[in-house]
Amino acid sequence: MTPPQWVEIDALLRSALELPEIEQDAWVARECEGRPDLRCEVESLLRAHRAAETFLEPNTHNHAGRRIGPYLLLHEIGAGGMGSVYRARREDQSFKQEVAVKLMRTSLELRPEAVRRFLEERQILAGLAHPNIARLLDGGYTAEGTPYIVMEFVEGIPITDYCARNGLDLQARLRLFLQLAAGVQFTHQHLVIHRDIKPANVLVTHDGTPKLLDFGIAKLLDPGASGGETTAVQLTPDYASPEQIRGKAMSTASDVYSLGVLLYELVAGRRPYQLAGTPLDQAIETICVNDPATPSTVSQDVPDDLDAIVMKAIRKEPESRYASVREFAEDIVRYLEFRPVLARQGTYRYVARKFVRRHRAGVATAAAACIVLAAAAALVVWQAQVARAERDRAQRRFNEVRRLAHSVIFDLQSKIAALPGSTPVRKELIANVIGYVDGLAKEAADDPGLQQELAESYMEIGSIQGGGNENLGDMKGALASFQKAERIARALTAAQPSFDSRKVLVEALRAVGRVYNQSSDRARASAYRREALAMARNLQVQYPANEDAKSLMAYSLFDMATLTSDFQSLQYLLEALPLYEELLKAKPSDPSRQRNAALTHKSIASYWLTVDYTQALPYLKRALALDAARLANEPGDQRAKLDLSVDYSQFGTYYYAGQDLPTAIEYQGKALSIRRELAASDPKDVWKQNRLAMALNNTANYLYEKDHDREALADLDESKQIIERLGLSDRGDIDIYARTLLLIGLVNRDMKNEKAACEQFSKAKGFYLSLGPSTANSSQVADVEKELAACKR
Amino acid sequence: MPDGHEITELLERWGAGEKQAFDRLMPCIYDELKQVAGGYLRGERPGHTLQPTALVNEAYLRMVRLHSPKIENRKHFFVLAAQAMRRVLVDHARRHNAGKRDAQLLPPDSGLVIQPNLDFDVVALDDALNSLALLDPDKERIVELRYFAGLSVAETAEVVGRSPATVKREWSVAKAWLYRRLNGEAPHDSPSVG
Repeated sequence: MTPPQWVEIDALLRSALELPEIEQDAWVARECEGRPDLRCEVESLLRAHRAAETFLEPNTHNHAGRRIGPYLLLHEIGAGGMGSVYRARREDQSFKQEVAVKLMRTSLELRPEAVRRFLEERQILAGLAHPNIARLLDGGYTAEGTPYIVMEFVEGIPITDYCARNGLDLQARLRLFLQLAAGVQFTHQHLVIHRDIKPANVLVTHDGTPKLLDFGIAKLLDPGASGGETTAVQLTPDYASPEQIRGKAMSTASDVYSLGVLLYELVAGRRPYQLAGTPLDQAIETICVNDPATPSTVSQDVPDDLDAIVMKAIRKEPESRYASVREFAEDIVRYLEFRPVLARQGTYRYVARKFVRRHRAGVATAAAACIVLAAAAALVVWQAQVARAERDRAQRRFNEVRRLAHSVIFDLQSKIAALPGSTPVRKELIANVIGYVDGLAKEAADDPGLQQELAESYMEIGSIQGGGNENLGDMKGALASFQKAERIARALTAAQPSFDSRKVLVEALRAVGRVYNQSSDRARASAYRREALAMARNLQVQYPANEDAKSLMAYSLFDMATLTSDFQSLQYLLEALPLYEELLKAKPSDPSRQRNAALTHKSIASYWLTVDYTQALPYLKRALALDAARLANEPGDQRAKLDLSVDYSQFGTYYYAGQDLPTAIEYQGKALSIRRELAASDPKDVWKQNRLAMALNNTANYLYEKDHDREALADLDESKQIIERLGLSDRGDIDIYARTLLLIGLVNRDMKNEKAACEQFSKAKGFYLSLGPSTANSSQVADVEKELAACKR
Repeated sequence: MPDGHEITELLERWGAGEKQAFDRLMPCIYDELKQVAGGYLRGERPGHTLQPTALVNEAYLRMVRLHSPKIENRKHFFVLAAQAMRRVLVDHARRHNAGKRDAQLLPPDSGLVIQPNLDFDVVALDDALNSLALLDPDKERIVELRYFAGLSVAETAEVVGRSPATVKREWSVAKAWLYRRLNGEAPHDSPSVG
């Protein structure tokens, strides 16, 4: 083929393609009449054209009808720079829910580090709930590696359209805007910058609630975000701040700017800059250099105060804008209440500085004359600036600290706790973090959202110190942290009794009660637990279907049950048992629900083992089955191992009570070997050592009964050494220690070491008496008395 | 690398038809693209799709940022970037193919994996484009802008100074020609002439 021929072919082909496909072949046949070579060539290319529909074209798939995880994509509702959005339905056996699924266009992000950050960040965002933000529900990667995000589905129209369509007056527009600002302020409090506020991302629902979409998502997908720099390949220049469009570090001030542009549009009817169709470099210049007309020059109805507010929000320099969205919103409220607005206070200086910048030379001479006058004023201005810089710095530091504390408490601790031998590192970390959190609490006394978060943080810190499992054995520190949480939660509940504040208060009361219980202050423990139970009952009555309320109720009942081991305690446990079983039934493979149900069964079994052991068997079996299943699911789970060892130990007691000593010793042996393994894995973990001592003690008891005195004595010595090394920090420790001494005495008496035996008995008696009167150890006290009586003879 | 003013000037001189300006600009845009791609992909396991569009845009923004005041003549930039992208992809594919044949002799760029959804060989596409260029250089340019720089029809129209409708038709014909070249004669449809 030669170029002249090609020119003809090309022209024919282009003309043919203008026609409807069905007419093309006939047209070509007509045009090429008598020239078979030409016709053949054009027809061949037409066929190629039809086959090449997707060839070389960018990937534009329609994903409607596709299933991603539990979500069925229904139809596309929008497409933008970052990807396409589908209306979707979550279909589980338990519930149906309409959601929006955003499929990202980019797959640039598949570095492992980036994937990890995407998932972590998603976790943080998913925790944020506010009436004015569309909640992020879920997210992950499709089979092809495309990141996707699942959001609350919002049916609404962009805020600008909403205002126009409903003919809202200025006041109504401002009130709508204030709601939006509250949503943005909320995300800022949680250290999330939106980065892409624009009308398309602010939908107003039919009941007039504005909802912010996509918060945090820009950052979620931004490969450079961790370093503070952004790679703004996709952005909406009309609402982008100068720092954003220049690719510099963004902050909450960038969102203040975008909100300012949005407010400008809401009050003036158009945006400050007309950037449609402008090349990027020109847009950059406009946004970074040009001063826009004030809203009042665009629309004469805009009052001066509002002019000042909008212009302050969209200043070029981030530090000249409102220091926070809250401050921005407060100024609008001031305007609505006819009070002087802050925005106009700085106006003179602002204008003067702009003037000086434009007319540097001329100003220099004039300025000389004014120096004396200006000096006094300048000092004031300078001080104000320093104060603002201080405050900005403080705000930044505050946010950094908050984020750090949050990640140490909630992420890092649990990750490290799983590693054997990590106790010293955790202690140091927690000591640091308490200092930070105390500082945060002092600085933000007037922020209920943060106070709630701090109460939760103190709870978590307390349980790491000494309240929870895998704890650091610092009961005093734990008590202090739980009491801080209690104080905050009481104040919050008194001011505004929300579900969350009441929930954290019940949790704090329970935790304080637990610490008092462990340190033998039974009166206080009982008072705290009664209050917790009463509050939990109220919550459950008010929210019968709420799982958290149900859990709190079950926990509080369980707490009451552990105060005693008598018949009353059985009543509490029998009330708690169906709650725990219901919770488990709702999530049968949830390990903590498996554990709670198993614990309740164990506790009931434990009551029957002392009263009528034959009644204990069904409870023991259920507990063992639940714990064994949990361990099988997660074979490295140390807590599940410990729980299983308790089951074995209880079976030991059961057979011991049934006078089947060999089987009792066999089960007790199983328990002991698990505990040895656990104690060896982390020698500094107080709780694990304690449990080992307990198992040694039980084993020794059976061995003694079976007259294996030497073996019994070896176990008892080991147990005694462990307890002495750890120190006696609570009732449980004293009880085990006294029992160990009693058993050592008994074995010694068996071995005819009468003097050593009697020494041990009298020591044991002293420890038992220090516990005060209790039905739990009355039989042991009686035993010791009896043995001591034999000594005196 | 030339600074922002120089780039602007070179783009203008090249736009006015000066071949040497092209020779100076090409390597720096080529390097820029590779650097951007490498930045994304360093340490990544191979086999992931990297959109050329994103790379070209990113390279543009980087150059604006690193070498501003500003780059005039954005159109020329994209024409160049499209060609540079084509070279990056073809060179990469050549090296990659060679690497597959004999890893000892010529190792592929470590970490650099760019695959614009390929169900064909980018080297073969490059050859076909060269042949098309002999017949119709305008179409070669349009394919470069649409495919290698990822510009839309409207953006391409702006860059080449033609109407979007014209670009769309040129693009269709070019695609048909290239498709036939790469896939051989398309099969005849079952007779359905109306």
